[in-house]
Amino acid sequence: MKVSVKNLVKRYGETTAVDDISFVAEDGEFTTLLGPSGCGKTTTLRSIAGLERPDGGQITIGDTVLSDPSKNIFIPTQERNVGFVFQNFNVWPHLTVFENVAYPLRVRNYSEDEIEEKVMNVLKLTGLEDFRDRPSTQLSGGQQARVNVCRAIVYEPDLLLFDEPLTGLDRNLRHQMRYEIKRIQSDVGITTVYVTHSQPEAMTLADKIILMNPDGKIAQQGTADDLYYKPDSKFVFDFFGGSVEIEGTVTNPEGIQTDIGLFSVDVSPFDAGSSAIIGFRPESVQIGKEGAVNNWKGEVEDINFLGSTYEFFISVGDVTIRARQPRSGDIQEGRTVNFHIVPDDIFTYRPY
Amino acid sequence: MSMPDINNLSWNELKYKYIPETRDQRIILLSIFFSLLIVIILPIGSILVFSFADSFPITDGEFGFTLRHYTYLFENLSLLYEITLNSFIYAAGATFLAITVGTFAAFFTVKYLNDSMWVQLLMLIPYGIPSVAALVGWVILLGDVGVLTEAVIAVFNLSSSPWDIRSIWGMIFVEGVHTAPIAFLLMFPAIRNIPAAMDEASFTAGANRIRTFRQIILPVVWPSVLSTLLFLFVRTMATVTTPAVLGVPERIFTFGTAIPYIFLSGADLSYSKALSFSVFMIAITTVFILYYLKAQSAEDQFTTVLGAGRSEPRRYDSTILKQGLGITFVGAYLVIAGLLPFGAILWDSLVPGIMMSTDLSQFSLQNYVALFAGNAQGTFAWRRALWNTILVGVIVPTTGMLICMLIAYANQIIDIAFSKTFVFVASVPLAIPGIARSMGFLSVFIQTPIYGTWFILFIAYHGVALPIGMRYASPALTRIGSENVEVSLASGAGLIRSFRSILLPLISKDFIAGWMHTYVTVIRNVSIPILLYTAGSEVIAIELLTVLRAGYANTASTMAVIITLLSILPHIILQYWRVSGGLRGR
Repeated sequence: MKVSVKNLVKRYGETTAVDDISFVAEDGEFTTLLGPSGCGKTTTLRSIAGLERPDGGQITIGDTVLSDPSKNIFIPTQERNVGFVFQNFNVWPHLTVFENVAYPLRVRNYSEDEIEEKVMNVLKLTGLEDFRDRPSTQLSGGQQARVNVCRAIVYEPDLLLFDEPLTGLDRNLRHQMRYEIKRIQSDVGITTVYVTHSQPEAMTLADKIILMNPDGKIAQQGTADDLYYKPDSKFVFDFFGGSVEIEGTVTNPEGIQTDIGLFSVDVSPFDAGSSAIIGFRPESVQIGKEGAVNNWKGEVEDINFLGSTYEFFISVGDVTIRARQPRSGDIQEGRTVNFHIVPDDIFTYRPY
Repeated sequence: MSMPDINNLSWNELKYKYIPETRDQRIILLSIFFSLLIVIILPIGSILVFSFADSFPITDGEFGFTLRHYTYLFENLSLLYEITLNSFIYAAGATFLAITVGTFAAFFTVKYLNDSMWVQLLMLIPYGIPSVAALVGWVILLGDVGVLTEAVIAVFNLSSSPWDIRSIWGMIFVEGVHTAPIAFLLMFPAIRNIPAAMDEASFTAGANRIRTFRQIILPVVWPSVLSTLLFLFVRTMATVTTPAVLGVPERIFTFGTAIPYIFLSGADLSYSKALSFSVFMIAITTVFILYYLKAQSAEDQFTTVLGAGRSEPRRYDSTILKQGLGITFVGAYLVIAGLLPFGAILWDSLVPGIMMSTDLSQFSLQNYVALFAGNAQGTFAWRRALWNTILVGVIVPTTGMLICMLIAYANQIIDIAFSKTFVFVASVPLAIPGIARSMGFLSVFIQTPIYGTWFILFIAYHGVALPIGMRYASPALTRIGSENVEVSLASGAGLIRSFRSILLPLISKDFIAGWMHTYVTVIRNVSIPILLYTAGSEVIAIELLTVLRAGYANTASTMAVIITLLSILPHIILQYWRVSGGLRGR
């Protein structure tokens, strides 16, 4: 079902945790709420679940209004038919795997036959069918995460909500679970809103990313490609890896003049003479190549081997440029190299 | 779930905060409200109101206000002065003895015995003997014709007893010895939490252990000592059992005994005077409780600086001799506070007749048979008392813990309206002496049909149960956190189902621990039933006190053994959980 959040506001005393945000998660879509700690992403999710009471705005699921303070509408969590997967797995230790998953169905007074069928279906979906009678205290972290997901989807909720569910897992398991969650979500086809502070996690999972900034507002929303390649603010650029930033002055119509020379970029959004920031990613720096514009020469100060790539620090005057490419070739420390930056890969912003 | 700041709330938000929306919220709110109203607010309120009534019980619906009962109290200043002075001397002496024993044992256990779980357990076990039972033992041992008294007279060829247990010194000794485990329980974590760096900094500065103890350890634990002192002082000041057995026969009256044995006794019986005296007593204890709270906040500040539980304490090099001395001290305490009084009652209960005998062939269960057959001297209501005790002993801890868990749930998990006030009200009985609360129940219910029934005891014991229960419920719910309930809510369950199906099973151990603590406290309690029982609603503790005061030693010791057996096992399990680290935050 489609979920719509319009002008959502949530305050705690003087602090505004969520400040007038709006977004839509289309039917079956996987949407992530991404952002640094304290940006209000979890509060937004909890507001959708009814675990927080919003101070303004409207949340709807399908045609049903879940909350709208201006009309004094607030449907309690237990009546919203949403599935919620929490950060701490909260698999109940006094119940077996089967009973943990069966709980929402028992609450809904399903018959024993239906419970058996539905629970086994989701246990099979997550490969837990052989663990049905195991006490939940004897599960590994990954198995607990799966039980947590099973419990949230077994009653076929209208909406599935995840609150940083992989934070407690080790790196390998986190990677594995990421794909598993994506697979389950696509098999079940349920609209999903997923909160995370991890940019790779958001990029792997999401059809749509809502990036929130520390002020509780949406910085940008779109596909992973949109946010990575077309960041519309310095915050988005920084959050998605960031890299080299150089401040300069707009010289209409040529580009932006910096300490290391002129960058030929589109300066139409700026006034001539105003300050602007140039940003580009290390992989946009092409060592040993030359283009029509944006060519520089610098000395290699340092080379780091990162496993799958090499990282180069090239000094041009007082500025150090970071570059990254798969092979080091014959580049060595102390050598002077030529490099080129593609104009389309350069982002420009107004200073804060 | 967090709530908005009240100063910035709109009308809708205020309505949301104070008027529950769902059926479950309303049920929880009303259950807690009515429980607290009946168990705490009405009795305490009624003491205050009725102490100003010109006569009590109210007859013909006529109610006039007067200060007469207060002026009576202060006109008889010598009586008031005597009761207050006796109470202070008794409480101060018993507290001093208890804290000295408790602190020394705690220091030794931490510094030389590496927190030994068994030593902790041995220190705590004697508290499992109800004081009314231990008193029987002490009368058998140290009374005018007590076993030890006679032995000392014979050995030292004395003409009379070198001591008089029925005196204020006897009261101090017995109460002090039996309160020491509580002092130990409170002082142990205080000493345990002093980080090694405190001692080590002093040693490296050149100080020896004695100087370190005097100038570093003692000042650092002083806030804890002070708050423990005040806690024990207030707790002891209005105890009923020890002064009733050892003080009242010699006309030594204290706060705990003045109401039942002066104001509600004899030809001058006056409920109004008892009520105004209750208010006087509450005023005195409130002053000490305020000091106690102040001392506790100082203790908390020290804890913040010291960083509670974050570092290991400094253990001292321990020789066999030092360990031996420590174990001997704890062993001696166990013998004095536990084995001697219990041995005495057990022995006496197995020997029919007045004389104590060492002839094993005379040992029999005759006293027990007589008790259960209804032929024992001095009691007609034993079986009924046993039944009533078991009934309240099982039901009160269960309902009490449920109410406390519900209050903590309302406050910590779902943040229901007024929940902070509920938590405060549930702990108010701590500041009100049991005998005054008992007076409160008497004043509320004396003119209702439930007075004189088992049901009034059932309600009144909840005043004992709630403050204990809250000490288990609050930390348990802090540990569980709100997410488990939120998962349940998201699964579609309501607040009550989430409480029943998820929360209660998750905190079952805390529930059982709180249950046992309440049970042990309820079945030994004298101050509540002493004013509320009538024929038909007797309990063992009262029946025992009555036969003991009437001098039926065999019956008393037999009852004392039974009440000890009922109490000691849950007490030992509870303390084992505590010292083995199974329970945190109590």
